[in-house]
Amino acid sequence: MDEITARYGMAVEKLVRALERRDKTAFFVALDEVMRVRDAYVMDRLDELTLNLQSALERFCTDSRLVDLAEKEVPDAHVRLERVLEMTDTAAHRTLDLIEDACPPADRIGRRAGELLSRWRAAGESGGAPRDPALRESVDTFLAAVQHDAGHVHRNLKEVLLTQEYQDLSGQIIRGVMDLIAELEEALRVLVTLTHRGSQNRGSNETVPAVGTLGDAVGQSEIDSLLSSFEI
Amino acid sequence: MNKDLKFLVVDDFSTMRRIVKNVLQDLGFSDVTEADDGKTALPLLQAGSFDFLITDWNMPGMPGIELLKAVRADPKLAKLPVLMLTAEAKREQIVQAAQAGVNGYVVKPFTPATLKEKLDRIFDTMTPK
Repeated sequence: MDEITARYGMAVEKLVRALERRDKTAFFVALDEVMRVRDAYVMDRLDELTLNLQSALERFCTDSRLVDLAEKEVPDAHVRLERVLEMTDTAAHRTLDLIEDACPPADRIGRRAGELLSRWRAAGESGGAPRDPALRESVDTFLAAVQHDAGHVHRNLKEVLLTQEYQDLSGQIIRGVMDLIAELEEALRVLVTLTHRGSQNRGSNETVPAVGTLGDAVGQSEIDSLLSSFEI
Repeated sequence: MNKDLKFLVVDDFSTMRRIVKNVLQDLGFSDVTEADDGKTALPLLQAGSFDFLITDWNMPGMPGIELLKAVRADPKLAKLPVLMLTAEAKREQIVQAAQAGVNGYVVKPFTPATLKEKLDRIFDTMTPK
């Protein structure tokens, strides 16, 4: 309020006095003065804003972090997520391969154990089984256990199959993030082009940093050789 | 339930197609074809004699809802039973699917029991083959 009084006080006082005297000419002169003070205030604020914007843009243009984000880090993030999708897809399919391979034997063992158990018990009742009661009991128990356990394994394998669903659900989330990153990448690229004229576009780096391609990865034998040079 | 029904399973994630195929096989349905998008699925539906469509929603080329609408708009396919199997569980999407003529809606993650229940419900309304 003190600032407003300082700026407008005298002009408003003249305006009020002209109004009280009913002096039309003096009133409009005083009103023009108030408006002139107001315009001068707005111009001062605009000048201040323009200077702030200019120095912000200058800092923006010299900030190399923006270039790093646009040309390296954001494209790398995209490549990393793509790699995660590939890895989870490969792992899920491999798991499904193994489950599909293991289910039929588990099913067969359970079925055959059940069939054999029935025949064994029938033989026991008709006197065709060995006389040793302990042996009969052991075989009976074993066959029943095989039938039960094979069923248990089969059910668990089916459960493992269903849990591979994670790859679809997590993959959809990852794809959503990748779409967002692609938009961000494009926006940053435009920004860098506008503010850093002449900078080279290095393009996205296809090799994922810190997660090398198969060709770059060091194998176990190479690790062993390297460690042996340190006597480890 | 007719075990000779010909299914088309549509999902852009191959692992999900494989899981659904396995579950259908466990339920006794061995004739299962796969498609990776609504775009590739529609010509298959138009060319083949499929009895049932199971489709995801989110697919890059043609989303499931568009596939459903295309099926309902085609006089040869309009009566095809369609079940949506999707992670989308927003109310407005379920309403949209219902309004487009979906016969069943199962949200992921799903259990074989739920899928069987929804299939049975649809089979009950189907005329015998």
